[in-house]
Amino acid sequence: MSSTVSTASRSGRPPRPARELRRAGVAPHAWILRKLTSMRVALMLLLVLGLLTLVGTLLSQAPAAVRGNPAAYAEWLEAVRPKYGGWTEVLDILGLFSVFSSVWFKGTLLLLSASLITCSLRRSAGLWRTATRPRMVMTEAFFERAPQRAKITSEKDPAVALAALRSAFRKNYFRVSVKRDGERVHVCADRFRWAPFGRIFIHLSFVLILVGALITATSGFRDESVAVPVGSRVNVGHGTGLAVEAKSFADSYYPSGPPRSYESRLVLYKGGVPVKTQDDRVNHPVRYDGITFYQSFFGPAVVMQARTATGRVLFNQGVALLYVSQNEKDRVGRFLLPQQGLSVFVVSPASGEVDPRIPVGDTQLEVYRSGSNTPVGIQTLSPGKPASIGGVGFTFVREREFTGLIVAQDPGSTIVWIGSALLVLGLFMVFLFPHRRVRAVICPGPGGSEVAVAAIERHHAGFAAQFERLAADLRRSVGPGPATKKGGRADA
Amino acid sequence: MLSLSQYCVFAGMIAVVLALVCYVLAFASDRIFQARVMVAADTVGAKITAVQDGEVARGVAVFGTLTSWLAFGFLSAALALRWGATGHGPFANMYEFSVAFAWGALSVNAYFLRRYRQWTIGVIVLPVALGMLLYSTTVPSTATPLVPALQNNLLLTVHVATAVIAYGAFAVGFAAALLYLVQSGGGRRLLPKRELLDDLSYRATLIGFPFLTLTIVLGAIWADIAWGRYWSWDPKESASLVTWIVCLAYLHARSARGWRGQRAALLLTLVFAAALFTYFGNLFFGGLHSYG
Repeated sequence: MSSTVSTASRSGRPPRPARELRRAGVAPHAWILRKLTSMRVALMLLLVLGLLTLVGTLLSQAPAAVRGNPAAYAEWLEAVRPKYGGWTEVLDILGLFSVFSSVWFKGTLLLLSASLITCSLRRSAGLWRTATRPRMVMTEAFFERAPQRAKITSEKDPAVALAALRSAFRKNYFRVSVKRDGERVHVCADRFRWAPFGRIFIHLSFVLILVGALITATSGFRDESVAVPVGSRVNVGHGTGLAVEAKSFADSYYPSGPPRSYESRLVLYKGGVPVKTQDDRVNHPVRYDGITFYQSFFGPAVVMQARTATGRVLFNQGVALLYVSQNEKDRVGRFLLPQQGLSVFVVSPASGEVDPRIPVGDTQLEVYRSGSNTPVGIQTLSPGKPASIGGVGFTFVREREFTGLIVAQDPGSTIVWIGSALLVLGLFMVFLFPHRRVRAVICPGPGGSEVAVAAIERHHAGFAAQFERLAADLRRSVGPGPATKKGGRADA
Repeated sequence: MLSLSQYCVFAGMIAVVLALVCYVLAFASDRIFQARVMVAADTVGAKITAVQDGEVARGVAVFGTLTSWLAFGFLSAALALRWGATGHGPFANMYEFSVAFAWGALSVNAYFLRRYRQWTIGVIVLPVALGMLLYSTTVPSTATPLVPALQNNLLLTVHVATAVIAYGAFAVGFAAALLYLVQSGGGRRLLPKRELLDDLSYRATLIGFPFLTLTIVLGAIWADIAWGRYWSWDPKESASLVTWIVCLAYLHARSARGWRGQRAALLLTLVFAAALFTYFGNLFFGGLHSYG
């Protein structure tokens, strides 16, 4: 990123305040471009981003599931009202209960990305020039005034001195370019000359990560409550054509109480054909064809059977008791009989709870006609004993467990990883392999040749010592001479 | 082995205190010596050139530096022993993590001691390390077995180790920045020159920033494996992002807008505050990073 000030001074005209430009009728796109390439604006955006993130950390944030549902959101607002009092409305209107999906946050990210892209594009041309076509001829004043400089008097003639200089530079991993200008030989030595492109990598990686995040947010799918009763098969849906079956589920605990492992044996089917069998554990998700199955939760399930009066089987599989009843005493599951237009609720006491209406080991069925709130019938079933409700025969076969999975397809994550790798690579390039450019000029002298070496490095005080070592090396190689004239700051 | 590790933590704590005492003595002896020289110069009128400015203090400070190396050694041993005993990187609960934080601060301090030979930084870093060690005594030190989400030895070790180095570097950067700020009224005896402190704090941030970036990236990778998404706006994630952003602002303000000295130092104290907030954040806000 280049600052407005340096851009202006490079092109040789004094910087004019943006407001003045606008008043003077400068084309709006020029004004926008100027703002986008301004370091000050980029920094402001960065700080706004930081502040918004801080706000998002400090204030309670509405969960994603709640945000999509107005009724649930209203309920959530009431729940946080005691905490924020009269501010609740204000914070809600400002969108600060969902900072990370608010227009402020997204707008800042958008502007920052635009700023990063424009800056990177603007900057890379200059970096390319610096790396490939350095200015070769430096003035004498440069060698007199540069913060790091040394003079070497050699008895070798200039051609030999150049060869010696070249080999000494190479020994220090510098790349040497030479330009002859009459009697003077100009040398430009570079180390890690591509490293500054790390900056471009870093800035573009940021944009890449944002693009990845955008893809994550807008494509693929994420199903956080796929409950698969053991022994049953559940369709993944979302156009994947996949079904997942749980062969088993086991939870184990340490003697002191905390959980040790949750583990399901999963079989994946595509078009009815088993394609993968694998144990799914926390930290070891099952992946297939870009879709990932994460072990997430578990709970009780019951195996139910439903038949018509003629004995045709309508339903025969596990029902995950995924929900908790309002009195928090029971676990509730649901399945549908679409042909009959029936919706069946299965209610069982939660483990350790006693519901006087349902004897231990039994389960209760509540059958509703779809769209109606009055039950067709409510009946308590003992294992293995059939009961008829609404013309359908129901049998509570047995209790089982279900395993809860998060199933997700996230095409954005790959881009996020590429961006992250680029970010880390860029940081290492910039911080560990800084570009060093040292210049030298060789002139014929009275006893052979005079060599002046100089470099400018303002950002790194440690460079002075590096330069001293390099200069000593060059002196050993090029020839005897008086002591170095030391310039710049001493080494830390 | 666990109790041996704990003894090492105590030994480390004592060494930190001793190092601090040495440093305080160094300052005191310098002051006393300085007064004597003045008196001597007044009465005898002699010019004392044999002993250079601050040399006595430096002599005393050497003991502090040696002791702080000792503390670093003890804490390294404590972590290694605990690692051996538990079978996983010693970063799984607040006790282990706070000892590791102290170790991180001492290790970056040790690196700076070797590289730049500025012991005065330790005057600030050692109390930070001591604070973390004292905090570790207030939380249960029992080795808790890993819950399923933490059962990833490689990522647990690398993700938290990079965090510890990053926090340690920010502590050192903060120390240099603070020494800079206390000299705002003019240079103080024994303290390094302000330009040098400015540079040291920048050096420390150049270590801290890539390590923090690595921490966040590795954390995202782990979250993708264990929690099923690479970013959840968990309080600890957000807080580390805030730290990262403030750090980024510092680096840009410095390199592109030429922020040096006072303003840069103030920003760095903010970076360290954000790092502390990130560290303790899960205690206040809960979230996915709550591992007791």
